[in-house]
Amino acid sequence: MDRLNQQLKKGVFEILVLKLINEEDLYGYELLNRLETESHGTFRLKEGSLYPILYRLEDKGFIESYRKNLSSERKVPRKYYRITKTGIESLQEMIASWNDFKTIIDGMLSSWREI
Amino acid sequence: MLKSFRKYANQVVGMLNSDTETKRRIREDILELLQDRYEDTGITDPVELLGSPHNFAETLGEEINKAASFYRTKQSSTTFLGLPLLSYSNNPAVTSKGWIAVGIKSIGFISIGSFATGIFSFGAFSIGLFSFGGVSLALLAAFGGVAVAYDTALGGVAVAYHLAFGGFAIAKDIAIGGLTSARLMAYLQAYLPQSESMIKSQWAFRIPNELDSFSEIFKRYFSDFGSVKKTIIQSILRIK
Repeated sequence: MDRLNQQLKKGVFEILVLKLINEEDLYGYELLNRLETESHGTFRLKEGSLYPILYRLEDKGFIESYRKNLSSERKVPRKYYRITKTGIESLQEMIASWNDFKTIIDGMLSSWREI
Repeated sequence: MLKSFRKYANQVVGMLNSDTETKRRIREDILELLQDRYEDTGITDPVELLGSPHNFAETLGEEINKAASFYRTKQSSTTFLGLPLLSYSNNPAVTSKGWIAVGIKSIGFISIGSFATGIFSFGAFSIGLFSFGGVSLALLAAFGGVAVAYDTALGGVAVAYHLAFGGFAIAKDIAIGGLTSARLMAYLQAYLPQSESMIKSQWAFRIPNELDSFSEIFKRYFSDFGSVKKTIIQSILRIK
């Protein structure tokens, strides 16, 4: 069951990360926290797993990074991610696919009966 | 930026099989993440913040390229007498075996690794007929920081039954070096006399001044010493 949960979660991380970045520009650590709080602790991503997702999204051209320094105390400017036009289009497609998928699965599971 | 953060990031990146650009990207992001978590928690220990570098690298490695696992083990398809011609592994849990074996632990005709065993072995710790390494153990010839051999040893500390060369050379038969102990010795600094119960006679000559005397004893009492060893001694000491 744990394995199924993990697999399901893994499949949706890209959509969720892209959706959060679509709402506002975010940096890595902020993304990890947002994922955890907005999912009420369900989507707790390992640090080592987040960056590969971001790299994939960046390499596909869905997001892009830029440096921003908000605090004078912080010497190194933070790397923020923002969604691109391609990213917005892809997110819309991903959400549509997810809804179709969800409808089909829900339909199939609702007709399930005890044998 | 804390030094320990840089060290941690370098350790993680050092364990990855990625291209230079990806490594640069990862290093940068790890440093930033550590800095963020440090600012949030006040914790300065990177291991406490992100777990061990090994685990972090393993997760990253799996995610970045699922086809390429963190550790790589490869063997050539060509075999001879059932052994692959070439075998390689960077996994410490795997012993690389082949005619030419390269790995953390390796066994082969030519063996190269941290712990290498073979006919010709090269490594931090090497065992073989001929071995070369930090600490080397050999039947015929050992070369290294600490070299131990039955026949010939050459190293900082050289211990052999027949012939030893080195800073500190100990042998039953002949020792040549800074500090020596053997039946016949050519020493630069000093020699350790052996007890009479162990050997019947002992000769010690300071080189280069007493080279002729050494040569004379060598010819008289070690005529059957073996042509290879003779050649080595003659060429090192430049005697005829």
